Amino acid sequence: MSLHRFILKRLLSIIPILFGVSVITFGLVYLTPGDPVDQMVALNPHVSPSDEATLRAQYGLDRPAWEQYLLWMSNVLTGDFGQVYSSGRDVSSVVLQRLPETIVLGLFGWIFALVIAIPAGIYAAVNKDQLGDTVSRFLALSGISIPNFWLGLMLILIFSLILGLFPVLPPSREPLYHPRMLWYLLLPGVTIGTAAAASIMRVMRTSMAEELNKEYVTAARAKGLPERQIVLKHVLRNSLISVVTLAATLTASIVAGSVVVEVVFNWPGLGREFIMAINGREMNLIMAITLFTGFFVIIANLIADILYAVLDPRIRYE
Amino acid sequence: MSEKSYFDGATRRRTLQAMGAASVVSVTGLAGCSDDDSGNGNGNGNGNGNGNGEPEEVSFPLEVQLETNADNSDRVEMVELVAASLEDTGYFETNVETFEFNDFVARILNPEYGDRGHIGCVGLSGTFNPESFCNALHHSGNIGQCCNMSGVSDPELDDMMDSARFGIEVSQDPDLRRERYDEIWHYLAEESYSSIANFSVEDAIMNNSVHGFNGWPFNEGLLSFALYSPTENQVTWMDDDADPRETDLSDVQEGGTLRVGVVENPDSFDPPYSSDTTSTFVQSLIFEQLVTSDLEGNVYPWLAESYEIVDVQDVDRADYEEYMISVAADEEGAIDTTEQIIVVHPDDDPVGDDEVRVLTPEEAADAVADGVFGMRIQYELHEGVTFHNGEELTAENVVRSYEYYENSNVSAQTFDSVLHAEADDEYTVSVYAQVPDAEAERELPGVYILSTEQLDEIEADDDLDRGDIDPREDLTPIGTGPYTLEEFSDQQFAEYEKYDDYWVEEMGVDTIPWFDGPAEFPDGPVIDEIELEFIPDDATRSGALQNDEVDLTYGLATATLDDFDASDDFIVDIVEAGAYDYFQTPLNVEPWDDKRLRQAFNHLIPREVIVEEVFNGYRNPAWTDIPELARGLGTADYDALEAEIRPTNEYDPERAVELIEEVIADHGYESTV
Amino acid sequence: MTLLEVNDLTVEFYTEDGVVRAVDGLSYEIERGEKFGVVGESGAGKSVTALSLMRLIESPGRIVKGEIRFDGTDILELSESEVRDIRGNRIAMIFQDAQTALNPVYTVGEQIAEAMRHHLGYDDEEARTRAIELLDQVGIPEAELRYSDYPHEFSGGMQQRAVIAIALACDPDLLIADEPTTALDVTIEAKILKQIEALAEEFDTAIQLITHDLGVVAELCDRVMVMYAGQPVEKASVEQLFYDPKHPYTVGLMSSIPRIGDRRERLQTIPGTMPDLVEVPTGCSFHPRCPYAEEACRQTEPQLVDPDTGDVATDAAAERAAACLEYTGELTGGLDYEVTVEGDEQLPIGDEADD
Repeated sequence: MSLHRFILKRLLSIIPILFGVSVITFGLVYLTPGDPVDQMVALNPHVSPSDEATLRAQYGLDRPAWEQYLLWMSNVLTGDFGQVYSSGRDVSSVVLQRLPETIVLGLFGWIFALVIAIPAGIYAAVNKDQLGDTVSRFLALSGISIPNFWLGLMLILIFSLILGLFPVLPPSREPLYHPRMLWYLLLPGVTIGTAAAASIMRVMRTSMAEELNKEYVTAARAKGLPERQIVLKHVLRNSLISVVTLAATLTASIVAGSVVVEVVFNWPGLGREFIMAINGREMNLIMAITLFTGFFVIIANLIADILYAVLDPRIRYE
Repeated sequence: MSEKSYFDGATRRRTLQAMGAASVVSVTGLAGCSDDDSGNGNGNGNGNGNGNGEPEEVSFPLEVQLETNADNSDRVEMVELVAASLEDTGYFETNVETFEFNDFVARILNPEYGDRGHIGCVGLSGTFNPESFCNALHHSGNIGQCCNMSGVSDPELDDMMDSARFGIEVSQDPDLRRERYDEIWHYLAEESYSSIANFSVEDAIMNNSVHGFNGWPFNEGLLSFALYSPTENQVTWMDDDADPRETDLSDVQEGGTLRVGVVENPDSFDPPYSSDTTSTFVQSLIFEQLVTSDLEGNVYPWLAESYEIVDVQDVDRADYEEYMISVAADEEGAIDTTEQIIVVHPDDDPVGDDEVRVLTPEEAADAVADGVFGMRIQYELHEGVTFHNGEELTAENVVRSYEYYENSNVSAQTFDSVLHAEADDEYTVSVYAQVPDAEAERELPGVYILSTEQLDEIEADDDLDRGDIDPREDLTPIGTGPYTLEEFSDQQFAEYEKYDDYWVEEMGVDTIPWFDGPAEFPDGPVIDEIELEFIPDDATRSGALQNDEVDLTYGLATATLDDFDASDDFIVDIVEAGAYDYFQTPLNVEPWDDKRLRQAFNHLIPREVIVEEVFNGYRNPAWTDIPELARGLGTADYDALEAEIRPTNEYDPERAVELIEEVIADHGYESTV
Repeated sequence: MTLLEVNDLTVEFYTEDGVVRAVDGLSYEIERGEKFGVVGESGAGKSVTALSLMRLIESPGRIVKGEIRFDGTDILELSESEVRDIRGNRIAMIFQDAQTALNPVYTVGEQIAEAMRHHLGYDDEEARTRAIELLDQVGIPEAELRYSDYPHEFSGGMQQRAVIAIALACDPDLLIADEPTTALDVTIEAKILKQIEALAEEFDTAIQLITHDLGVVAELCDRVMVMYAGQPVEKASVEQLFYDPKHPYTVGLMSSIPRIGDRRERLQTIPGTMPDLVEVPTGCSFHPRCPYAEEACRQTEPQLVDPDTGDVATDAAAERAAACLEYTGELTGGLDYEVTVEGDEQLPIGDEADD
């Protein structure tokens, strides 16, 4: 089947993309002043230049950049992502431990965004230029403009400190898959999903308003179908096509948003780990997190491409 | 010790602060160490004699550029205040320039920085060792290192500083050491090479359930000090029903849980395989050392019942020459050996030489056997101290722990003073210093004593490496400390329970010879459970405290501290700490070579205004060069010292103008003022 | 019996440039089973009229006046859900451009079946069976297979047939065919017209055929209404219209029909364009383009009158009417044109397209 071949092709194309991502990430980290040894011992009055050099040699940081990269790459190909310099722990175990936290948070934020944005977008498009539309457009603009961390802090202030509905700290003693976690996911999920919800809502509204003007809608009305059915069946599916594109792109921004949100909500995910990795110039950790993130973004886009074909029969991948 | 922390400002400040007992500070690893002037000093006619070979004619108003790192907004604000104060006299035309942190470090660590004629401002962090408030700034060995940026090279001062720490006499006579430091403070006040503007404070904020709490000048020791420290009769207890402002030692309650919001996730529970402050924070409840300290840095025996300096010899590092072995060094200076390098021959340079002579543990033992060492301190251990696994503390634990520190993350600071550790008998252990050193009493025993069984397990198990004493490696850390680690979840929390057989409790605190506290002082910490929540974000941590999800936290922004302080539901505890901001005038550049101008500058730093306006009162003005924590060892009589030196550090524009006028007149400088 | 009676229908659009009166005082009626043509250039208000019948005029458009009596009930008085019961069920519409009228993301079969499920209460299977029948009836080969094709898998002609099948799905009483063949080539056009005719006859369905093409009218319709600038200018039976057109605009339209054997190099089109509906000319809105226009045409707006008697014939039932001052005796110069019937062709056009 052509779709199968298309998916296969896209899966294969992940390899060169991730390769590119790894080269760029490596280059950027390499060019940033300071390396892990600096972060560990620089300005430590007891560490001599010779000690530093010895440490660098031990981590292979004294080698030329291309050699470090190749070494890293050949290890990765055997499934070894290296160690966290400061703690000596395996990068892959750190990433795998943090990953579910971020996936759950991101997924929640994403679902929240869709659940809010799609009905809101439909409502706004159907009631275009009426009060409800204006209000929802205002909210969408606010949602896009409000910085994540500020929103997070405000939510904590209002819902945790003033109303006392949520704890400030996530319940770290509960397993992540516990149903009660849904409740605790609300504030960080809302924070991470708000900007996405706002963008999706805007696109949903525009795209739906555009679709509503098309003749097939008049044709559907002429059939005597109820308006609800026309909007939810005929128009929605067509307008979802552009939303799918956006939602896939937003995966990247949700991942990026998780960095800040995880800090504010003390969520033990990859984003928080990433900040620490950057501060510590933890090359191996930075590389692994970037690769994982890149992989997920690519997969999200692949899913979007598959969804196109599902939503729009005219699209065929050959 | 460097520390990884969250946002740039904080991280960087801490990193720069990190030069504790700054002796020789290495910065060669810093990237971007460029020689150029980044286009800011040379071209625009600021300063004088800035490297273009033609010293400009000195004239007043004097053009001068003040420089600091841009990421620390408080410091930038402070520098701007000082610049305004200089301008107000009419004798200066100032320009404030800020730099990205890494660039700034590279800039001031350039040995030629002092010749550029700028006034730099840097933040550093000192320790209990008084040296940390003078040596890094003024020792000629620290030119081009951290952080003698103006290039102070004063043989007399170098000698004074060296003899306040090293040598047979001073290493055995703390009073002599105090006198020598007093001379240094007076000398520095006269020369005004540097102007320390303020000293930092450490904050702790708690709710009304926390009683008896007192802070510690270093946040890594905050909790273990507060929970139980007989040196200061310090104990913290939990009581929901009483007002902590009205309780005292007679109201101590046992039991309860203390929940603490900790600023970071710890890298590791393995003491020598971590160097961040939070790792020390979480380890300090589990592990103990041979000695402990009070708030002024005085050292008291702890796991050791007593200790004694049994021998001091006039030995310097070159005296180990005959025991040294020769090893290869590559061009970067990496030394090709897997052994811990204890001493590198002072005449050899790993970067320049292909081969260097080094002393490794085996040869160090030989040297000690032959009686070649700088100092020997003998520790008598308490008998009957047990580890959490039931193992009894013996001299072997001590010796094995020192070995475990070899080639670890903290080996550099351990083995820059430690030469060797050796068991004399089951409960007696001698630790040898490389040279006679007044700091040896503190430096030598700075090792956490580990369980031999646990160390054996690591050696025996192929899956375990050094550094794996950590729950994330499925190894629960075992120490002699008052708490045992019960549960740990990476990035989330750690739970401790009181250790039932804690040795102080078993023996009674009264059996500790130096203890002279009140009778009601308990025989060990009284809180049953400690829960640490790792919350890197300041605002979140503050929120968790407000929402009663933690009882205690620290490291909050000063504006937040005011809010907590104003509330009846919280107590803010502030203790003076060791971080400080200082300015250095370019003493090698005319007209700053005249100390009267430097003294004038010192009078123009509005220390009180800075503390109030810039730091909201959460710093202390530096009336002398030593903060409270270094006064135990750094002065014979602090009050007398302050009485004499404070007048030179007071904001006094009139006196400053007098001094400047004298300088202008004596040198015949042009002045249009 | 009258199936549809439109009285004084007026539709306005509110645009930035002002109010546009797209349909202005339109009245006509259609009998059961009758085939009624609405002719005019684009912009004449034909499609708006069609949509008005189903009350599908959307903002910024609004029906400001008039009544639309369908089977005795005024559609404009009905509730929204009552109108929906009529749409697609009793009045159905064949759209001009099948490609845009079909929803690209649902199968053709589904789009036929959904109205039946909705109006006739068919279950999935019944609707499917009936839809396949319809596809077969409109001439889609292998209808059962084609049922689950998507619109883009159909050719243009097949799409148009599918749209017809949709319109016929619920066996409507009135079929509004809005330029049903414009998008098609001539051969297919003829076939489809025949099909519409045949089906209408089979189901005894009345047709309102909207077109700019008099040829199509000639082929299909019983009676015709010519519209210009939102207003009816002539109403007549198809024979009367072709043999004896009464309005200069009708005449102009007819002379622009291409004919086989026409030796003229260029088609004689009506000079000028439809007026801007925001600023309709005073008097007769056709006068700027009318070769017979006089001063009176600029002053007086002609009413629909019986061209023989000059009596006002604005009501829906009027069989023969034209809106020209000629018939109220206000023109001095008269209308100077002549209709010639060539050879033995019954009608001037149409048959050549027939095969």
